Amino acid sequence: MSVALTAIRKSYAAPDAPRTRRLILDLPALRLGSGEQVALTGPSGSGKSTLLHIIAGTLEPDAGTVVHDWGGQPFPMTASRPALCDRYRGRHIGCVFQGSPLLAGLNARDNVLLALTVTGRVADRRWADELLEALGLAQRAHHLPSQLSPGQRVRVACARALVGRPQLLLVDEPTAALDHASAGLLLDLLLPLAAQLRACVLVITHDPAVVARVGRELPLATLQRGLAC
Amino acid sequence: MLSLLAVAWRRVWQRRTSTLLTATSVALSAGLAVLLLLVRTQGLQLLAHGPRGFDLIIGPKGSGIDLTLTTLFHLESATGTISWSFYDSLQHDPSWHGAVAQAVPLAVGDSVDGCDLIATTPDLFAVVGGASPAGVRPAPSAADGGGALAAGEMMRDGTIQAVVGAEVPRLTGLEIGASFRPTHGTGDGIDPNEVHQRSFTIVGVLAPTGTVFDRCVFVTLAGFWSIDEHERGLHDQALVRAAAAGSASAGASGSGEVPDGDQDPPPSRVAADGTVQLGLPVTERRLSMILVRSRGEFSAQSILYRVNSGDQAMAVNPTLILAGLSRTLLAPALRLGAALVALVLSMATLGVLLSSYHAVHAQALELATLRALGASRRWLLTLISSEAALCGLLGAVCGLVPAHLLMAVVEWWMRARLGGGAPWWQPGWPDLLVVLLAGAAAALAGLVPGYVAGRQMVAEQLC
Repeated sequence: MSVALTAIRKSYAAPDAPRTRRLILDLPALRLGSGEQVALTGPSGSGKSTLLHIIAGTLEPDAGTVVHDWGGQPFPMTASRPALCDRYRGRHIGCVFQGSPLLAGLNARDNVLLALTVTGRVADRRWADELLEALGLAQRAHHLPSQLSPGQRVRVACARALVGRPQLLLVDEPTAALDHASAGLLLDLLLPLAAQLRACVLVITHDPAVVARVGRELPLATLQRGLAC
Repeated sequence: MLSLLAVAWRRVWQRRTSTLLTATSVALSAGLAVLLLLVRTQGLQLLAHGPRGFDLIIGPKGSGIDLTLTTLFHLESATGTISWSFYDSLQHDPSWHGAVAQAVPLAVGDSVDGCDLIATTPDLFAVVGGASPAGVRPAPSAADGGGALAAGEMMRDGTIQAVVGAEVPRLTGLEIGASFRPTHGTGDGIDPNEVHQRSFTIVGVLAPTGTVFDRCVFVTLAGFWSIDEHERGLHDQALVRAAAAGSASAGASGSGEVPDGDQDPPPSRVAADGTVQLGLPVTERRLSMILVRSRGEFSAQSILYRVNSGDQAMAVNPTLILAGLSRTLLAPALRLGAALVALVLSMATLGVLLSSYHAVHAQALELATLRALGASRRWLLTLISSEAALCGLLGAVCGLVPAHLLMAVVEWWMRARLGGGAPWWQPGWPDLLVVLLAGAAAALAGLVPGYVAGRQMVAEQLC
């Protein structure tokens, strides 16, 4: 069970010259397997988040294929209708994005359950509470995002990403807004939970401390086909 | 259970200030729409109830509209009279019998503590009582003392007894057994200094009819004519008519309306049993109008033609008059009102759309997060549309309160001037219709921002 990327290319319009496009990703191949925990590193603007969104199916590459195979039929993310991609993402992939956006009107527990609601699954309150407890938020389940600290909000976002028992967990700069201690605590809580679910984890970071905790570093530059990042 | 609707409500509540402003604009327009529909319903009911029980009104030559409004709603003052002999011929001339089923004479022009006084016969309650709205016992005939009585007994013809409409005791404090003296004039023309000397005694209270009769005081024609000022006035009118016709032609006219010389008629007397012995000659007795129940549509047409061909009186079909008024005055006004309401509702819907559109942009990160979590475009479309619908429904429901409060004022006026009117607090189909329409319009308005939300680039928001 894995996700396989083949010949991925993605370019953006250059801000200073809109008619010219700047190639940001030129990735011959990448495969991530079940249970792997990988830290994708690279400088800012090198295309790490772009790659994460292409894997998640929230961004289309200019060329190339992304095929998810997490049990059942392999799912060609790049060749499927948006509605099918949404459905697949909701059921197999957990995402923690930069800034860990939560819905301001929902409390912590409902933000976690939201991941099940939007995909039409039964809201498993017990499992949501277990995750919140495991992430040290048992006493904060009924707090609104505005009543939580940045670190607590990231942990709620992590619980939300895990509540659907994903096979692939994509985490984008989880510690960007946290101090070293909080960042370390977060990863110490998150990574064992993901391992318990046998989820493949791809963490985007440029923080060496995060890389050290994840274990395996994958510099984006080494994956690219001769691009100067 | 965290449902889509729960998420929609929490998001709407989260931006409650903008929701409140948008809902207020919806409330104003929805309230206006409900008010217009309620007024329309009440107006149409009033017009439909007005002429029940009789199909023609006969009165002095003049405006048919004035005669109808005076008779049904007491909106105008009676401007002339017709002779008693004309009514008498309707009753006793065999040539009328094939067309006239029943004729009820009315004389108006006085009031009691602001309530109009109507001089008539107990037959009136047999005609209109049986056709009154629900809740009133029908009056099969006048002989039983009036089947439409709520308390007491029916006034006895030829006496100085009176019965009062259902609301009169509350308005004037006059109960059964009380006496009153009428004041000359009605409506704005009441002169409080011109109080007649004749005193009447209330013997019964009528059951509510939902018409202007609920606010009227009824006396017998004999009692009415026995009032000194009326006797003298009617006699003077007879002299004027005779003078106008000329003494020679007056003697040969055969109209039966020639006064008995220049001397005042002997004053009326009231016997110990309350029976009036009228001094006013039959030829000088006058009526304000006659209600006629014909034997059928053809008979009604026949009466109309025959009366209007003569020079003594005028007959009108109140249903046609009211339909004409409705067509020429009410319908255009209602159409204009409906157009205004449609315009205001459109503006409110546009307001919902703009508010929703703004929210989609302001909360783009939240929406992108939902997409990233697996929410489909259709789910987002439903969410945004539901949020707009909630805003519309909230506004519309809030709009019902001012609408019904304003309706209370309208209903008070209608009861005071026209009679009838449903309780203002009672919810009806206009409320449900407007709330559903507002919700549906808002939901439709939410489709546009909902579509836009689904098309936003998720990665752009989350990177």
